Amino acid sequence: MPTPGLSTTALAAPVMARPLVHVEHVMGTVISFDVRFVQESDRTSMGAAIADAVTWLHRVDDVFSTYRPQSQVSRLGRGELRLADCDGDVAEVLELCAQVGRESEGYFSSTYGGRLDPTGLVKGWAVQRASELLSAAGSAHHLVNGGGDIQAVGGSAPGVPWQVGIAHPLRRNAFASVVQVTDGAVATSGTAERGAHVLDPFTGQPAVALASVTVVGRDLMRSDAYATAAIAMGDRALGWLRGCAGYEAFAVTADGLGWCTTGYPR
Amino acid sequence: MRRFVAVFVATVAGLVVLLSFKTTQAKAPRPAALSSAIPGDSAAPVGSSAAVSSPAAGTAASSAPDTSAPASSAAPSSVVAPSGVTPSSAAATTSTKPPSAKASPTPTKSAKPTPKPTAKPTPKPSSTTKTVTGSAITVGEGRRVFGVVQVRLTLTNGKITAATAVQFPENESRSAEISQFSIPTLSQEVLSAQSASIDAVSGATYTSNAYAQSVQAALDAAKA
Repeated sequence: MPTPGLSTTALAAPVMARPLVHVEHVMGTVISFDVRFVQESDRTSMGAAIADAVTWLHRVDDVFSTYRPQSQVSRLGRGELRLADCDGDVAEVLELCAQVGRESEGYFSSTYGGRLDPTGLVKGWAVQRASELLSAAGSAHHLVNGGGDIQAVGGSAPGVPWQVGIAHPLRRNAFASVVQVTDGAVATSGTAERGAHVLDPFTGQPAVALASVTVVGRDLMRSDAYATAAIAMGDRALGWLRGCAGYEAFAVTADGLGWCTTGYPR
Repeated sequence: MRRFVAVFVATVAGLVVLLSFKTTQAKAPRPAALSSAIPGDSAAPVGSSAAVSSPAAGTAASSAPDTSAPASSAAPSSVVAPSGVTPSSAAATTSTKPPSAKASPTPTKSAKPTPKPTAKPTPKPSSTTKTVTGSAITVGEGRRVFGVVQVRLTLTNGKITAATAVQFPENESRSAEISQFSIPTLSQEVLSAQSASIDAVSGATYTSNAYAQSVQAALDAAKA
């Protein structure tokens, strides 16, 4: 029997401070931060953590952007710079590209038409690192959405998973799926926003069989790269994704049908 | 795989037929070889083009529907029937029997309307739900194996209220075709409700310009 005068709901979950939200235009897209905490006094330190993460994301943009002719990656691609002279992160990213390339049977590639372009991996890697910066600063509940690729920690409140809507690639302002995430990543690759920009690296043709692929897993870097590889694979993607331990996937075909791996939290 | 789907639908149809005879009192005794807990006709129809390697007569199990069943249905826990055929109407077209069944079923026998029950009426129990899981059937044709299918039915008061496929073929090259489902069209009300509970949107990368029109932008503005 509830104690008179004491509401049972007051015992259920702490009252949270207002969410700390920050939106940053960087890397050609928009990165949204959503940080949750109980004590209002945490707002200042969390704000500082976000600012550090934002500074780092701009650094990543300067080093890796293939849209900036003078970025390290652009100059490296033209042979004007040696890898040893680049930021240490460049070598790390290229090594990750090689690993994911092997894991995806070559469908993920950091070279397109002979041009060096690790873009398919950099964004997820960068957003994941930004999330780690927030955790290191003491955040227990946050979600970083880098243009549609998400790394989430904790929940929107203690014990309440983050609710992530998967944008329907063929219907405006509609969701094709909704997933709940606690300590995980959600990455979606597809043709909805920028058209058929993912090429089959073996044929050189745009990959059009799948309108979108969403990968849910522990870390965003691989989720993002796997989603991109899956688009390139087209109809072969489900078979490959089923073998990716620790990652679940959902896809919408160009015809508007869906499929998903067995463990996808649908 | 059309064949696979046909087998699946036919299996469920057969189980529906079985269960529709559940309440009859008078029936011919069935051979003991078929150890089914479901009285009545034991016909286990299969698609005419597939060979079944084990009888599909259901054996009773009692577990709750598996909510994490592979998502190959148009709606959760519904039968995959891409042609729109429901189990009850598919039953009418079933005509083949598994080669290994020992019964000589005569469906019409049990379908005769029973006379007024002579037993004194017993108070109807409160809603009973039970789950029946069929044997796992290996579906194939000749030497080709398409996969394994197993159907789990939920019965409420003797009527099928849910049908779930427990296993699906693992033939990778065709798996996309088998597992596809229709994404439900969400009404505006549902979209609004979902938007109300969604914290973030994952989609193909939006440019800075496209962000302004995005649902994510609306969420970011609303939360701040």
